[in-house]
Amino acid sequence: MDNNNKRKQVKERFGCFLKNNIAFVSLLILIILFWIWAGPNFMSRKNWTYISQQLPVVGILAIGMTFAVTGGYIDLSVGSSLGLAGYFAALGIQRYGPIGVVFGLVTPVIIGFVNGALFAYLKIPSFVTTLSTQVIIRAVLMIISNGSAVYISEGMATTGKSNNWLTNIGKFPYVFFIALFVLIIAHIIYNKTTFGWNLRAIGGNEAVVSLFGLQLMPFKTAVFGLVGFFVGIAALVNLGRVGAATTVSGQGMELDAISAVVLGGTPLTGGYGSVVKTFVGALSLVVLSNGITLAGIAPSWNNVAKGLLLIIAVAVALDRKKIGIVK
Amino acid sequence: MKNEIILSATNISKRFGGVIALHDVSFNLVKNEILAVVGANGAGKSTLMKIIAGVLSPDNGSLMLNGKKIEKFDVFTMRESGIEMVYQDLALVKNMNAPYNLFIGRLPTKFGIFVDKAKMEKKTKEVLERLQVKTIQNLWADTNSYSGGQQQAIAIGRAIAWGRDIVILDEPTAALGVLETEQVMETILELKKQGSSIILISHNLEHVYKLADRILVIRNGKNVREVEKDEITIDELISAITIG
Repeated sequence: MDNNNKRKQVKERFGCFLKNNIAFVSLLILIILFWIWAGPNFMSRKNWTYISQQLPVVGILAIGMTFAVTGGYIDLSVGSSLGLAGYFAALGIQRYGPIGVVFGLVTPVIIGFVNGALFAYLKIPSFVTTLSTQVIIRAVLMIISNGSAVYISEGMATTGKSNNWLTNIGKFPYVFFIALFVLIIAHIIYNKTTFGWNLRAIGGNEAVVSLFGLQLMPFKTAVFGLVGFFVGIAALVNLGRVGAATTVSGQGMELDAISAVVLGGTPLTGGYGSVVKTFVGALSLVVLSNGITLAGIAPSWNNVAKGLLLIIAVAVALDRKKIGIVK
Repeated sequence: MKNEIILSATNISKRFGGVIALHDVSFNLVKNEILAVVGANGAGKSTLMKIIAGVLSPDNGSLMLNGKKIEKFDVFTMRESGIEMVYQDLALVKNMNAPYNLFIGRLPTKFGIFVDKAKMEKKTKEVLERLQVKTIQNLWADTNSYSGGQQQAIAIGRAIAWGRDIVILDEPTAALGVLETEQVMETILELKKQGSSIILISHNLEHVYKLADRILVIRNGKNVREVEKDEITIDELISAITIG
């Protein structure tokens, strides 16, 4: 009987550990798997430098998404918003030099506030609101860019100002340190500020928080504005890394961001979450893509593997007691 | 000082569409008393209390608190005026910890944005000590890991944490077991001892007789009796609730 109890306790503790640390466990398994499968190249410094360059954009985007998901919302427009922000930033840099990056930061914040206002004040579900703005923004980007890319190095020709600083920022190690800095700031906002605490509370029980005086509509609008701020940073990092704003920049990235959030153990029902675990979730996705390439598997399998990873991670880690009804 | 009226409701009426929930309900709450509000389901007890707590506004009638007329009916104003309500469903954010629930809507900050956890912990411990709740081991655990009695203690603690004058308790023992009910009843008496005036909604007449000083009977949205506990027998009370 005692042995049975002990075994049960150990099993429960292991289950609890797994649930709380699924992001780290998935990453570890992926690293070991590809180390074996893809060989020593996978663990080479060169490869991890490459991974560190790939991670920041999706990582920062996913950090922003964590804020939306914690509230119980979703933002499907982050990919398109990143595309448009990158385009405006590139144009701004071409015309006004370094200060032009402000356009890249402000554009997604405005989009975020519009998303938030449509959702909060007109009470259109965030899924529908951001799905609509996703499509609209991408179309607007196509229309205003006429389908052509904007290269940030062109700024040199027109203004004489060098934009090497931005392309440098897009390289390792700067790009990685920027991502780490953003992660630390996001972690502080999420865990240490009244905003972060109220956000988790709203995700858990909006009606009660509202009953005690918190103004929900401006708060929700601010949440989407904050998501936009992270999109802006991701857009600039992406622009620096790629060196150009194209009409397909950020396309499909919202799904990677959501996947990273889910892999990080944040339930889509809201109320709980961790930006650090989201970032680790994003790293898992990058490692997965990288490992598949190095293992010589056809890239088409990448999405199959991503989907499977997501299903397995959620099946193992979703705390069904915490979220009540699974819909 | 004896029988000093702290809250006075006059001709409170409330209608939901075609349904009259309250019709000219008047009553007084005396300082440092426990006033039990009893009535059948749908009698209008909770509606009346929600108006006093600022969750609903009345269509007609007035409320005087400490001799001053209340002009604005919202939760924030009522809380600032010294009225707190412990809701039947407790109104806890269960994915958050006890200190958050105690401080909900008024989180203390450092530098204006950072949550002051030390202050929250200190105050929460003080409140739980006042309520003589010693069973909560981990203050920072989610409240959904607490027992029903512990959750109730947090909800009551929130009402008394700010030195409130009036505490409204809506069916505080409805979902509790025997031991937890005893604990909550002791807490209510402790609250009174500490100077709060209490409005207690309860279906349990035994608890009403144990705790209350006076009883207000509501039937079909009207008040039918407002009496001292000793002036009415339990049979008369049942008759007032059911027949009027």
